[in-house]
Amino acid sequence: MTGVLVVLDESGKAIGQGLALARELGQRAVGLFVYERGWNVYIGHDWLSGSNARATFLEYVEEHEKAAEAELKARFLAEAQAAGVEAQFEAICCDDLEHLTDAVIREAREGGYGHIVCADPLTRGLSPRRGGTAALLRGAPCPVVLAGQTVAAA
Amino acid sequence: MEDKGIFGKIAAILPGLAFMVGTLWVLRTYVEPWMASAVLFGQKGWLIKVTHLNYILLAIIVGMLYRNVLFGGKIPAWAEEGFRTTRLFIKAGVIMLGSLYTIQSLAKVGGVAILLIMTFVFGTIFFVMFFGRLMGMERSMIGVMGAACGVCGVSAAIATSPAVKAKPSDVALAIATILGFGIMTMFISPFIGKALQMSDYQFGAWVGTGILNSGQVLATCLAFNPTIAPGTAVAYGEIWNVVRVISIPFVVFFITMWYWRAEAEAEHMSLGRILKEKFPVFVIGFFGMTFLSSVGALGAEGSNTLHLMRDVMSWIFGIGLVGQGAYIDIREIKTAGGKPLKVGLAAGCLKYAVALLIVMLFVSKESSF
Repeated sequence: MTGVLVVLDESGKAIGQGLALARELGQRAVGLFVYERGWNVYIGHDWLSGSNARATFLEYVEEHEKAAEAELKARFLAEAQAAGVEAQFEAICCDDLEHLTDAVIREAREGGYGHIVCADPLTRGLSPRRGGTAALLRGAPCPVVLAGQTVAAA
Repeated sequence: MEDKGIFGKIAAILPGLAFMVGTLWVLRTYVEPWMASAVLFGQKGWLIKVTHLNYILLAIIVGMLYRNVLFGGKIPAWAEEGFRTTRLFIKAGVIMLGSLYTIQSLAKVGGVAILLIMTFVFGTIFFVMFFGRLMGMERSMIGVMGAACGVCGVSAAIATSPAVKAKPSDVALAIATILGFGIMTMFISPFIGKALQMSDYQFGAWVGTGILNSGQVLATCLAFNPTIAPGTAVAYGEIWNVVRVISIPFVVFFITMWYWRAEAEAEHMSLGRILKEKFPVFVIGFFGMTFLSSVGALGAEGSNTLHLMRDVMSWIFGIGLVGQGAYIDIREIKTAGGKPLKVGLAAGCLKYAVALLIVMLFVSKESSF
């Protein structure tokens, strides 16, 4: 089990901590961005909006997610380079009924990572609503480091 | 994604749908009659007389139990497609509700509805703008919460978010707040209505004005009086509901204009474009049914056609509400917090209480229907 899986979220708190840990362990860091597909179900609570309003909102979320991916990817790779850590970026998509943290756990298991680093609280999409870091701590196949504040890796 | 084809899609829907239909059938055939005859604390029918439980509230409660207890927090894959038809059921039911009115009756009650709704919609929006700023909330979230608390909850929140560039994770927080408040009011309002001996007209006017989410207005009215006919709580509440739903594009436009004032790079949208994108088309179906009712195409009051339609509506709403209950995830709602929770609760409670006061003081028990 080797490598540090850095869960990327809007706060960016995990990036510095994840890269610092990877450098200390002499391992590679993988920045993980997860696309959620649960929004359609989540706004299923809504009974009466027009389908155009729903569709526009879902398109807006998708655009927002793509922009967040691009921004976090650039930031992660730039900070990794500055810190002298071997780094990769990966974007994955949740299965239809899967929560974000389930996808992170699946990825950590399949990739055989040694550590997961995640911001606390996790602020990505619907994850704050769905257990966030608590769900990750319960199901992770390896140690989880929670990043409560932003630190510089370099 | 794999294309299942039309038969594959129907097959995927069937298990969940059958589960919802079966649940409602058991509730209506066995549970509700048993509750009416069961003797508890020395009183026959105590469960119904004191707790005011009926098949509507039971459908929601059982749906919530499915999601949160039986399914362990997530609707299983075999039932998911069927449960997703909930929206279709509720919308079809609301369109059919249009048959409870005639153009003349809508004209009589519509004026009061429009006056009350518009006063409360914009009053709440201004309160959220003031209180949100006081709490230091971001302008985009003030816009989303203003629409959500002012008009009709989730529908308005998702219609407004793209225009004010709200963060999706913040919108999720706002939705959790609105739903949590709405669920609470959905269960306590029938008790308050009965305790204050409100008429169906007063109750419909109150919850139509004071409850944040439009779907919950429907459920609350049916919980107060499950009869679907002209002059019942659901008939009055739905007029208020439809007026609110129609106002969504105008409110989105108003809030977007307010947002632009301080955000130079924000996207400018015309009212025409907002109307095209946000107008809920099913409202046209609702008024279509009212037109058919007005010209006598559905038969006179008491006709077999109307009787059958109302029976179908009670099943449609019941099935939809089992599904709706199953979309209520207690864990998600419990995590509502932060500024959206504070602002949402303050605005929601104020609107709910002031609407009750206004209705009790100024709306007569007898309607002009």
